[in-house]
Amino acid sequence: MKAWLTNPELMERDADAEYAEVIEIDLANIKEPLLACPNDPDDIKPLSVVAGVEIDEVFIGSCMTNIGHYRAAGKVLENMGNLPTKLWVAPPTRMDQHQLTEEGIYSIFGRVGARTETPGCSLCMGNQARVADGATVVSTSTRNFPNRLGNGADVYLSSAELAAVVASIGRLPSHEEYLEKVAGIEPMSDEIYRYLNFDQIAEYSEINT
Amino acid sequence: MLNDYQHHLEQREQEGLPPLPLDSEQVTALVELLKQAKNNESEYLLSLLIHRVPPGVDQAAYVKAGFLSDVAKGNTSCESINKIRATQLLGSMMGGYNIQPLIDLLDEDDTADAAEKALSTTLLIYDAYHDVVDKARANPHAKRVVEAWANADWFKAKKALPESITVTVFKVPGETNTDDLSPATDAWSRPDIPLHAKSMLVSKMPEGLELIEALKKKGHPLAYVGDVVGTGSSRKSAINSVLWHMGNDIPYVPNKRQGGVILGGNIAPIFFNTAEDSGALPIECDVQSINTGDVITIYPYDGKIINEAGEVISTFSMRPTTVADEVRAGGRIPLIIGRGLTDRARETLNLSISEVFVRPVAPVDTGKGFTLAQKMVGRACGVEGVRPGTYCEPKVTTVGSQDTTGAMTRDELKELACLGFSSDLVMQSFCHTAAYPKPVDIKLQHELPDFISTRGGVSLRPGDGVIHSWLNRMILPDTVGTGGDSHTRFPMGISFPAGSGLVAFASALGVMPVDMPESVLVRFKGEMQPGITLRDLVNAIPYTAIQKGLLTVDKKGKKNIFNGRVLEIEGLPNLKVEQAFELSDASAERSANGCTVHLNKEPVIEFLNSNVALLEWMIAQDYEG
Repeated sequence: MKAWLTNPELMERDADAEYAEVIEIDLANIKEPLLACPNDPDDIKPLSVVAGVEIDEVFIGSCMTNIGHYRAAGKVLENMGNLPTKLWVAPPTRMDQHQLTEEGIYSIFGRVGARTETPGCSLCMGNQARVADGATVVSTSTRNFPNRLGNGADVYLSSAELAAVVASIGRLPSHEEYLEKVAGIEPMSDEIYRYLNFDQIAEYSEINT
Repeated sequence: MLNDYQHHLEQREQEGLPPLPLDSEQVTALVELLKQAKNNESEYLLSLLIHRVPPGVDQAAYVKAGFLSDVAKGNTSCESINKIRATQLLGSMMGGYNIQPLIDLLDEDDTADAAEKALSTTLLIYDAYHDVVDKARANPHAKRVVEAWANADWFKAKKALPESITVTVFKVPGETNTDDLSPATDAWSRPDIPLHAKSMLVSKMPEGLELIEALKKKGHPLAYVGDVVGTGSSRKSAINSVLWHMGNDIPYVPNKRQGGVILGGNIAPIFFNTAEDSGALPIECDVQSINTGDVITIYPYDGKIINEAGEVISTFSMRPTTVADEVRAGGRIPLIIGRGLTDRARETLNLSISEVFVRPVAPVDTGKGFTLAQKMVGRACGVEGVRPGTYCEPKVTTVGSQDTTGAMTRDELKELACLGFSSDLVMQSFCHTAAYPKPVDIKLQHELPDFISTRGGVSLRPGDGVIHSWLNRMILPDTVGTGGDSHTRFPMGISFPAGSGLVAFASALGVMPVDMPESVLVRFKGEMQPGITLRDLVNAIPYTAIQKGLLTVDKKGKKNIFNGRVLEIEGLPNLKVEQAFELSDASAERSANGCTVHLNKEPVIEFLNSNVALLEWMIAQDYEG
């Protein structure tokens, strides 16, 4: 690793490389959040098509998340009392949990009554804690196959930001409502989407090796 | 011991299960009983020793090999086993603790013939190869062993894939994912293959297992048929369960089966590979005219399937071209290992390359440039790039093993007779069972770290977190890796996630077999709109593919441009590496074989500086390895 850092070179593809298909996605055309709908990760729909669906439980966790997602969720939930949904929070690693606790983000999760889980896969695989039978769920996890998160559960997959909004209102919001609820994130985005640079965190970098 | 075992037998029988394989304590007791037994009462004991001990480097195999070796060398006597029989039985143990005794026995007049025969068809030789070659200079038996390897006698002794296979169809319409075959809620029972197989399809098709039993009464083996088969996780337990119900016993290996036929309109790539690894015959073909209860005959070489009326109801081509050899060898893994041994012996003897095997055919070189994935795999193979369709064995730098497949990977490592890893980093996690462990999970959490660290790997601790978030911090840019979890998808470099058998293979040998897939390029352009997150871009990939007609949601005749290909993403080069993982991770949901993300140097440098600090902190915290 250190050897790579002394001469950092990354490979690049050749300009005339061959592909079975080239799919171009213009970000200007992605105007609203996209969700995978029950119960197939391929069944993608824009938020406006599914807005209004009542949601029972929300899961923010799995390998699809990183520390920024939890700060963003904390921002959305920071002024909330009890939530109309059951919210599950499981950061990916011990270090994320520790850092989020230090920053006071866990106190927000505690106040809104979220169930915080051991760092790890948590609900994502379905072999540990599970959502209620037949629940309608918004999750940040990897896949929403039938019965994976809970028996007979209907699961939407979305961003942590949208999941946090859903947790706070108990249904899928309209696009406008979503934008309003996440408005607090953008001005703080440098603080929120900051990643775990262990070389800059005293606890990890100041060790006696 | 026998009373306890009888009790265990009855208990398992009530559940409709065979007994568990013997452990080292049971084998120790069994050996003592055998030594004292008179010839006429030892038949049962002997059959337990022969058929109920796991092969390879299991602790029970250690005891068995020690005993047989003592008998064969005349250090101990046992009325029911003579020296030659003991030598023959050592030859049934596949590799590991039996190898050195067999090599020694080549020097003994009374056992040399038997030892020669046993070693000639043994594949898991590893470094002991040099001992046999050295011995071959003066010992004619050892010389004949090397010649037998060179002649691929091990392969010729096995039955070729037949011209036609008649089966009864068991069809699960629509999509069966690996969770239907091997439910996560029953993950704890995966290492007990017969028990775990009872949970197959319980929620997808509750009557499935009864139907399987009824269909077996038609007298033919069953074939598993589905529109879309094996989507989702990489768990080998899914194929283990299918083969438990539809495969054949493996001589001298308790509670595991191989062989079997799987037909799918669409077979997910990892599931397809796992089937190959296990000696099954996976065939992608139109299955719309094939229904449960049909008796069909498959002509693998002619690529057609006919019904009882003799009508052709589907056609296909066998792929990869080597699949017939794989089935004959008992799986892709034994084929690769055995073919390697044959090649090595022929090189030693200055012979030209063996023509016994179907060799992978290199595709035509288009002379065009390479994609990022083709370059990464190329470097791991010591060449500039690898064309799609090329069979190759890239060096595997990093391997991830997680807990719910870890016990199976452990068993596969034992079967491969692995006592030390060749891959640079093998990491074990406990992220799937840390939160609410069952007693069986706790046992694993206590036992597995030692197993991994004694072989040179690193174990995380329960509660540390998700394996990928850790493993991503251990990888070097532009290298190749694998892992026993379908979300092992590196944000820099490339990973080809695999079933536990292949994960064990990659850990043990430091390389893995790859049929280089084609690539699909996804290029983002333009500015991100307000309120849009990376997860929305993850979802934008299938969303756009659906709009372009490259992906369908419907399972019948499902179209998926990403299936089995490498997803290569560019246009977001300034993402942090943690963010890039969100994109690569979700290539699992696309059923892609692997994924690359084009990043600029700056975020990669930032990430590696962070990771060096984490690694030094881990060393200070006494993480073993």
